[in-house]
Amino acid sequence: MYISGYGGYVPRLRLPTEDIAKLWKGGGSGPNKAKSVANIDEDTTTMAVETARSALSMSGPCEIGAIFVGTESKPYAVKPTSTIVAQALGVHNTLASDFEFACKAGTEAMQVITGLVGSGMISHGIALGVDTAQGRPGDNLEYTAGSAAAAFVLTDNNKKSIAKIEYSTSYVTDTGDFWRRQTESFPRHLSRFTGEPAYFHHVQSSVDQLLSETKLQPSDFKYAVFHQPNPKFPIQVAKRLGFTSEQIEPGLLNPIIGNPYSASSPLGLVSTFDIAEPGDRILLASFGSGAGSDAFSILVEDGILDKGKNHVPLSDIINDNREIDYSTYTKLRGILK
Amino acid sequence: MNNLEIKISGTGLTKITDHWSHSLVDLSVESAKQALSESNILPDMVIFANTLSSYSSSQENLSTIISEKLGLSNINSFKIESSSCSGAMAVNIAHKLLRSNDIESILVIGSEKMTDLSPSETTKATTLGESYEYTQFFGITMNSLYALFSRLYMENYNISADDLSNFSVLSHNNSASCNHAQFNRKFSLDSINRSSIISSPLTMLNCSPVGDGSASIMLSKNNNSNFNDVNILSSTSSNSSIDFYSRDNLLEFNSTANCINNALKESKINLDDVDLLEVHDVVPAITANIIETLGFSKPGFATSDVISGKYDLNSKISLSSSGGLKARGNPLSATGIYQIAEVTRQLQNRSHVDLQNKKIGLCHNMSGIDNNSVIHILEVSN
Amino acid sequence: MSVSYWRNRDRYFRIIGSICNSCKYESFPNFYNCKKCNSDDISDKEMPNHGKIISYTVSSESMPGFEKELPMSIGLIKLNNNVNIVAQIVDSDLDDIKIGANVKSVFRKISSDGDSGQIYYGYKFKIVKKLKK
Repeated sequence: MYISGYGGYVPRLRLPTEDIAKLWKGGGSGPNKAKSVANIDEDTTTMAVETARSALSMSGPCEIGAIFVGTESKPYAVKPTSTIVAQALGVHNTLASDFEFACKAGTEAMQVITGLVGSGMISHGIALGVDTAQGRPGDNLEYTAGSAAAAFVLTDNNKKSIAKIEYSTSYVTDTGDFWRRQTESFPRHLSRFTGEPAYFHHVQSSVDQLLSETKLQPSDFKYAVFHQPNPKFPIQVAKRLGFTSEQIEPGLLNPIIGNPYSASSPLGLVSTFDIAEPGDRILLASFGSGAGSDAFSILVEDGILDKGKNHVPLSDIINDNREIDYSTYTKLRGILK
Repeated sequence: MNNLEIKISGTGLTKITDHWSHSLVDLSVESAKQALSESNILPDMVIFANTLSSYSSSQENLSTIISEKLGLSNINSFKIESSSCSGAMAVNIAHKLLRSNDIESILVIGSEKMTDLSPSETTKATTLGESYEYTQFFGITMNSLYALFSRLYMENYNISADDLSNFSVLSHNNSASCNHAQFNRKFSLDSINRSSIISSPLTMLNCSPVGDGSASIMLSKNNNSNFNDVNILSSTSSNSSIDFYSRDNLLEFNSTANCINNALKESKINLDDVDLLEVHDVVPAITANIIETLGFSKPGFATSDVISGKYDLNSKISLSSSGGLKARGNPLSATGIYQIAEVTRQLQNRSHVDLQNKKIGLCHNMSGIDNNSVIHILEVSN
Repeated sequence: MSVSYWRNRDRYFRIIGSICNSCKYESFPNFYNCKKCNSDDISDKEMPNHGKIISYTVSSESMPGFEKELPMSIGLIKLNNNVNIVAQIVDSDLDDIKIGANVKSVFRKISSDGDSGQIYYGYKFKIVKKLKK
């Protein structure tokens, strides 16, 4: 399976975590410096359309047979975001669906499209991980819950491909570390339980399985991208699995944009693609509460040298930002009723 | 079409303000009764000019309702709508009907009720004449379109927003003593420029206000009133594209240009015969562009002409003698009829201010940014 | 759902106007008769995504449903094919909104029928800046 195009988007607005801490703790800051905040006219759908367009701009025109949006912040509980993306792309003869698996819905979409393309049912599919994550005001999650989107065009046509998905695994258990009931606005979580039994167990399990089945070692990888609920977890899990801080650095975005849930590890991959070179191998390991992890081994191809004239590096998008304060944030997120 | 001169044989107008206690029908009856009383005749037809009745009063079929309230039955009545130039358009149609039909008189009533709406509903009301699909849907307001035009005008002629405010100063100077005007006070240039921004660079005191009002006129083949004959020398109308920005030249007002060309031909007057000028002065840059299109000022020079006093009340040509849209007020579909009623009274020497030697008046009424316009040229004969 | 929105959604999502197949004149919104050569041989055409600001304003008034978006920046934009379009300018510093500034189209929420009604999407524009490294 090949990735023939990718796109990433981060909203322009930033809320410094110092502002959140000032209100709720009297000072200090969160574990990350700032988080990205969707503007009043942005939502999962708008960001999905932008990244799908970027990814298609890079891959070039192709016959899309599946559009899957992985998100836990669907604007409609019932009505797919993916059909709006399809309409915006001018595509109609396609599968379209929204996936939910907390922060791993985007990589789940990649897995499913791999199967559809591999079976010959479709020739190209777009997998998206998009979220405008919400954290309950005053809760720890509020510091990190951010907004972003990432999209990948997958195909079995290796002509001018950006990268090859060599292998992937998936590991799931029923583990309720973080959840949101149907009519609730904000998720709930079990604090420290979200660590060992959730994040670490599942990420380590899927990566261990991948390494065991492929006989690859951490040193065979140039880069590694892990899901980033906060700045510390990805650094810790990398160390445990035998990956270095240099390997994870290009994909580590939480410190500056927070955790955009379904876009978190996919966006880390986008960021890594922006600086990777042909022949580099990248590990991608997502984590979704509920819980599960998808692990991928991705080999960068020559096509990465030609990203097309419309490509804007993610670092440029992230660097074009404007700080807001907590009161503006509450207006934008509709917290004031 | 024959050359029969149609006369304005009766006028009526209400004060323009927030008429909390009066409905659209109440206001219409008030102005219509004045016109009927002045004219001393009964009309063969009633034409009602209005844009917002559905939106602000949930009422259509008003020509029927108002006719009944006036005790006029068994009469031909209907409504005309062409957005902000509905008033003058109704007069234009009445003029055509009288010249081509065996009827004697038509009562034209223009009314608008704008203040029963919330602020954002009022903003929508004033934008209803613009494209729903590509303007209203996107949250673009009428004043923001005026502002986009204004900035283009200012850039093109290198004129500042502050200088353009002189139009508003003039308007308020003229409305100060006018009883029916919405504003009865003057404003300094400074206070106009410092008023809050509606849509940059337009300040609040540079934008025509929102208010309720009704104006009526009786058009007839004979004058049975106690006042001098005021004849309609010409009534012309022409439309253009709805969006000003899709035109080849964004500052060109072709609708107004066609109207004035035809008006001068039909009336056989020259521009410098005009003593009283009423234009659709919604915001200063548009006022300037209208005056320049009509030919009273050279392109880019209307502002300096205002500053030098060319259009003052006591000059050869008086602009907005009752305050214009800016200070007398702009109840949309009534505005065109207010202009004609005011000029008629001024020509008959019975206005709030006595101006000597005023023989010919020109009234220009427009919708949107010159997407439709109507010009009337009136002459008094003693 | 507003049926008018559904009818126009392709035009709103992809800025689809018209091209005259006879004289190649392009226009937005779409037309049925070419205003240059009067031909009725017209096809849909996607307008360019880039353009320049030729006029702008910042509005402190809103239409119903847009109250939370004030102050609203609005631009008159000349697209790269010389077609003019009026749209909101978003996510841009006020200092950057000036005549001659480069803009590109973005896909955004326009409005919604309240919290339980449908959401309407369409085009807006934002300033394209060259970032200092």
